[in-house]
Formats: sequence, structure tokens, C-alpha cells
Amino acid sequence: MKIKNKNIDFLSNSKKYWLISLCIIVVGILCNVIFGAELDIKFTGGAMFKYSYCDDAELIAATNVSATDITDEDTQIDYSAAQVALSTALGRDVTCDINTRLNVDAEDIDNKMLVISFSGNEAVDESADTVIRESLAEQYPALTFTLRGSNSVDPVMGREFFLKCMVAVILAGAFMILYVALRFKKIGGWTAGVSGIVAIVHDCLIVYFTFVVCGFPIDDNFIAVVLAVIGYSLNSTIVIFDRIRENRKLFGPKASITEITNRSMNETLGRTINTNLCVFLAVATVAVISIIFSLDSIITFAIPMMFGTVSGCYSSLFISNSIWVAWQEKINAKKLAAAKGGKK
Amino acid sequence: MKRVGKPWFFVVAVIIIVLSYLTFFGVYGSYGDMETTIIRGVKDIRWGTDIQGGVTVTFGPLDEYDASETELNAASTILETRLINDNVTDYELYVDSDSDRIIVSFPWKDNQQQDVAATIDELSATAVLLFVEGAPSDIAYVDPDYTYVMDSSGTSYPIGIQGKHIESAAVQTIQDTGERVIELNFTDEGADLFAEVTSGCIGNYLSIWMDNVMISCPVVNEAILNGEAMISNSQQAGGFTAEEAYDLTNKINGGALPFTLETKDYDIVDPELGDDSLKIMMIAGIIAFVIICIFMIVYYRLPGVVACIALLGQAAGSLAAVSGFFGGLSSFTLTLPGIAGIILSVGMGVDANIITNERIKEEVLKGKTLDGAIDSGNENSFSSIFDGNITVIIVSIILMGVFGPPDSFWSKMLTPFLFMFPTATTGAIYSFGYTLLVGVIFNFVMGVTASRLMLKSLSNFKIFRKRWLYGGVDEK
Repeated sequence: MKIKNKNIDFLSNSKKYWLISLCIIVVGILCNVIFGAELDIKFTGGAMFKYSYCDDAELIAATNVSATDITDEDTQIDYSAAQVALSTALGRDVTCDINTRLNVDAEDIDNKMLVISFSGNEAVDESADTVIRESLAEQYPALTFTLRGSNSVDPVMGREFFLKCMVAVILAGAFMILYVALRFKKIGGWTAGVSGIVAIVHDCLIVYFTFVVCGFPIDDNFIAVVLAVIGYSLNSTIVIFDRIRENRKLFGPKASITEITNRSMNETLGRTINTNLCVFLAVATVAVISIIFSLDSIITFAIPMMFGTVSGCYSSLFISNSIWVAWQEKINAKKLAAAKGGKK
Repeated sequence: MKRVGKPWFFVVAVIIIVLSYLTFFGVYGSYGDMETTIIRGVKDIRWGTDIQGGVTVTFGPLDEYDASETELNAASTILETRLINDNVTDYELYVDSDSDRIIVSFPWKDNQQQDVAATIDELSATAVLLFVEGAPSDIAYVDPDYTYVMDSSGTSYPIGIQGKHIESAAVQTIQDTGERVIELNFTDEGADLFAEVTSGCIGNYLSIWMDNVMISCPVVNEAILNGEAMISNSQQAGGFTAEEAYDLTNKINGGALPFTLETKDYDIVDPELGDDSLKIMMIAGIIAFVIICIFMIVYYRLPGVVACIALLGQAAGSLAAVSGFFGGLSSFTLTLPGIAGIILSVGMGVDANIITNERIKEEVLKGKTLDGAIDSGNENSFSSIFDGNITVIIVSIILMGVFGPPDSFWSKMLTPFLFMFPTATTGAIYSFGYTLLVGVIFNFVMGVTASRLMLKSLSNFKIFRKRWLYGGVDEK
């Protein structure tokens, strides 16, 4: 009979693993400095209007009898001219972006999306829609613009919302340390709790850097991803702690912490990898499909979630436990020294 | 652990399959021409504005006027009345009295998104409350000086008083009879005017109109000279019902509001894009489900098959928790992040099975008997599953408390921590928290209880007693 015996040494190289994470974090910080993080208008306040239109002269001519003589020249929007004209009409600076629009309906010929963002953080009245439309109609009489979405956020409310989100994340972290500390009292609750927190801070940073590197604005999706990732990451860490606690009972207090931890991690390795793999597969499916169909609100959720899941798996294998072991050994060494000192 | 009989596998599996069928397709009865929903299917789920398109607007008093709770309630009643008049019934409305905000979100009716500005303006416009002498059948024209109104046949009726003449309205119960009435208090100018009006039309109707819709049509019984009037409902024993009385009171107070509502925030989503994203997310969910099932069966063999059945039950359970399942129960709004939450839970949903199956595999490889391995696998894995899932429960509760409507249970629970922050109802994320929480609960029901019953029962069959099926090696 053959028994597969996994015995990976997770702990003796723990400094190397910390270094890998540290390098990624340093690169992330550099990216943050270079690219900068962009806060969504939900947090800063501001306004944005989106219009769809069709820039294909043939298609317009085919659907509109009164516009049969238009040419491609009439349908091309000149960014800077449009920007200047709109800024004058609205009395406030705006920037224009044109994106390709996914065509979903056969009857709908609009293939472009004009995104008008207001500079500054002040909210904009919904009546701006009328002004924008009038100005656009004047500049591009051949085109028909359809309002596809708009939002405006008061800067004070945005800032309060941002603070509330931050408090939520801190609150979640605090509740989790408290839970780990109480539940794992037998294996040095607070050291376990704090080690778990180091791991989830690590995961939060990875999620944050994913947003920065991908150029996604930090919005409420960010908060949702951060909370979900820390939940799942700590979940993996806890399953390992749970095994350590069980093995401690089995092997008695004299067994070395390093050995027991390593043994517990190997025993739970299948679970740690498989559960995270299943979550990863689910998230990756969503990510791939949302990229294929360019579903922006889901892309900015699924891609960071993918990296967060990998990071959560990594941190529960290589960060939280090794920190906890190093810490516990220091405590034990001190105790031992104190005991020896007492004997003299 | 107790022995589990052979039929249990089939009982549990059939229950899960029937439950799944019902939650996906629903059950509808018909009584004559009336179609009734007995069990809600996927198509009855209420989709958030990010899927079906719609508007989310936050209103607040103009110039940071500090509104009282009664005033806000009155304002929200006005908004509700207008939404219903516009045939919008599936709106959501939350009042946050701490920060004086009213958040309204409602889906589009067929392609009306072109007049967004008009829709929002119409909603937040100051309510026009008029007391008209007589009872016109409708109001087609209101004189700009508010001296008379005209119905569609051209007959004119004088306006008695307007909203600005009313100080407040309140529900009162007459002590002797227990009859519920509405008490009106007038401003000084209003009291004089009302005395004059009521003296002139004793025995006649004095109809009350808000935004040109009649909300009440009382008869003047006597001249009211002291500026304190009472509206009673003599048609009904006991007067108004509590609901009628508060509704009418809020409407009258709404017409007498001393502030104007201003749009603070709004978010408008195009319906077409939303509709499409729903289909895409459904496809993503199905693909993710299939991939995970293949993985589980290949890796864990027999317990993997059990996990797949449990996972189907979990996905169906999550959807049932969103749709409300039974026609009468309340349902939840499902948004795109909410669907993402269900898909994530599908990924996480096999966690309980993975922990248990790993444990069983370990015990089988150690050389334990099959029954012994399954029993100790089940026993030893529970604390891991429980402790691990607590973190996800903490996360989902915080998501629901922070992003949920102010009157929801979790928001109230978190008030001690978040009291200094205003409500920020983000339905999309709230729905994510809800589906995560429901996912964890069904993870226990399906991944722990149902899976164990099924596996124990299957292990009684002779053909399923090969160690290979549980990840072990067959003894030759």
C-alpha cells in the first residue's frame, strides 16, 4: 500500500516568502506613485453624463430618410472642439471621452459612447442634460444622442460615504481579530489574531494595487472586494489554526511549535488549495465573461477579486502562520530564559 | 454517529432537485383569467436598477434646512404618492432622519429615460395642496393666482385655502367614541381665511387636492372660526383606519412643508445595457457551476458527486432566499454584485465538502475502515467549517449594515459604530452582502447536513464501498 506523503517545509524559508510579498508591495507602492490612484466620483463628488450615438454615416442614412446625404465627415466628433463648446455652454470645464459601445440590440445602431465628465467635485443639476444635448445638436446636427446614464454626487456626501466605507473595513478587521483571539485562546489568541491581521492587510494592499495597476477608480466595488477577500483569506488562516489547535491537543504542549504548525499546514494543504481554487475558478469565469462582453461594473469587481483570492491563499500559507510561529517562539524563548534565570 | 438508512440519499437528492426546479422555474396557478404566483421562479426576481435600468436619487431639503422627522415623513409620502400616480410601484424609498436625506430608487418604465430631468423635477417639485369649494370630478386647470380651478368640462370652482395656510395636520382619537380623526391647525392668515370659507359653504363639499389628485372630500358641517378643524370619516364605524389617517395626514403635511426638496445625488442607468448584463451573468454562473462540479468529481470521486448535488441545492437556496420563494413572502432586490455574490458562494460553497472530504480521504489513507473514516471525517471537520465561515458572516453583516437601508436590522445593529455617518444606501452592494450571508447559511445546510446524510446513506450500498471512491487505494 502506498501512501502519498506530502511534507512541504513551509516555515524554514519564511523570510524568503516575506521578502517576496515585500517586493510586490514595494512595486505596488511605486506604481501608486507613478500612476496614482483615482477615487471614483462616488467618493470625491462630481458628475458624469454618458450618451450613445452612431458614427457610421451609412447606417444613419439607412435608418433615417431625412439624413441620406450625410458623410463620414459629419459624424466624426472632434474631442477638443466639442470640449470647448460644451464647457462654454455649461459654464464649467468638462472633458470628453469616446468609447466603443457594445452593440446589444439589432435595432439599436449606436456604436459609440460619448462620456462627458465635469471637472471639479461639485455636483451638477440633472438639467445639464438639456444644455449638453442642445450644444451637441448644434455642433453635430447629423448625429442623434441618447442619454445612457448619468450620475452626480455631492462632494460632502461623497467624503462621508468614503469615511463610512473605511470605518466598515476597520470594523470588519477588528471583529475578526477579536473572534480569532477569543476562539484560539489556547494557542495564544492575540498573537494568532494579530498575525491573521498582518495577512489580511497584505491582501488589502494587493487588491488596492490591482485597482491602481489596472487603472480602475476606487469605488464601492473596491470596498466589497476588500471585505470579501479578507473574509476568505482569514477563513483559510483559521482552518489552519484550527488544525494546529487540534494537533496541539494530540501531541501535547511539549511538541515544537514549528513542527506542529508545519504538520498542520501540510494536513490542510489540500483544503487550502482546493477551496481557493474553486473560488478562483468561479471568479475567473466571471472575469473572463465580463471582459468578453465588456461589463465594466463587473470587470472592476472580478479582476481584483481574482488577485485577491490568490493573495489570500498565499498569505494564509506563507505569511500569517510563519509570523505566528516566529512570534510564539520568541515568547517561548523569553519564558525559557526567564525560567532559567529564576533557577539561578 | 448514527447509521443512516439507504433511502436517505434518494430522499435528500430528490428534495434538492425538486427545490432547485421550483426556484428556477416557479409554480403558477391560474384562476379563471387571473394568474397567480404560488412559488416565485427566477423570472419573478426583482432586479436592481443596475440590471433593469433606472434611477436612484437622493433628495434633501434646500439650503441645508434642518427638517424634523415628521416633515421628512410627509415629504416621503408625497414622493410615494407621485411614484404611484406615475404607475411606478416597485420603487424603494428610504428616509434617513439623521442626515435629512430621502433616497428613492425605481426602475424605468418602457423607455422613458429620455426625460430624466423632467422625471426627477416632477418628483421633487413642491406639492400643491388645495382645498377647493365643491367637488369637481377632476382638475384640468389651476389659476396661477390660486383663486379658482377648472375641471375638464370648463366649470370653475373657487379655491378655499392652500397648503401654505396650514400649520400642521395630526391624527387624533376622540376619547369618548374612539373614532380616529385628522386635526388641522392653521396659520393666523389661514385661520381667518378658513373661517370665511367654511361660513360660506356649510353643508357643501370642501374637497382636498394634492398635485391635482383628490385625496379627500369632506363636507363642511359648521363654520370653523377658531382655526382648528377636524376631518372625520362618518362612512366608517370608528372613523378612519390608522393607515388611512396617517396617509392623509402625511399628504396634507407634505403640502404644507416649509422647505423645498433638492436633488443631492443621482445615478441613472440605461436599461438595455442592464438587461444584457443579466444574461451574461447567468451564463457566467452556469459555467462556473459546471467547472466546479467537474473539478469536485474528478478530485474527490464519490464525495465529489455528493458535493455537486449539495452545491445545486445551495445555488437554488440562495436564489430562493432572494426571490422570496413563496408568492406571499417578501423578496430581495438582486443586483449585479448580488449575482457575483451568488457565484462567489458557489465557489466557496464546496468549502464545507472539501474540508470534510479531505478529512475522510486522510482517514481512509491512514487505513481506517470506511465507516470509521466517514464518521471521524464528519466529526473532526465541523469546528474548522464553523470557525472559517464566521469570518464570511462578519463580512456580510458589515456589508449589509453599511450599505443597507437605514431601517434594516443590520443597519440598526451597527448604529453604535457608524452613528456619525449618514445613510449611504448602495443597493448593489447591499445585495452582495445578502447573497454572501445566505450562501454561508446554505453552506451549512447543504454542505454539512445534506451532504453527510447523502454520503452516509450511499456508503451502505455495496457497490459504493470501494475505498478508491473515497480517495483511498483499494486493497487487493
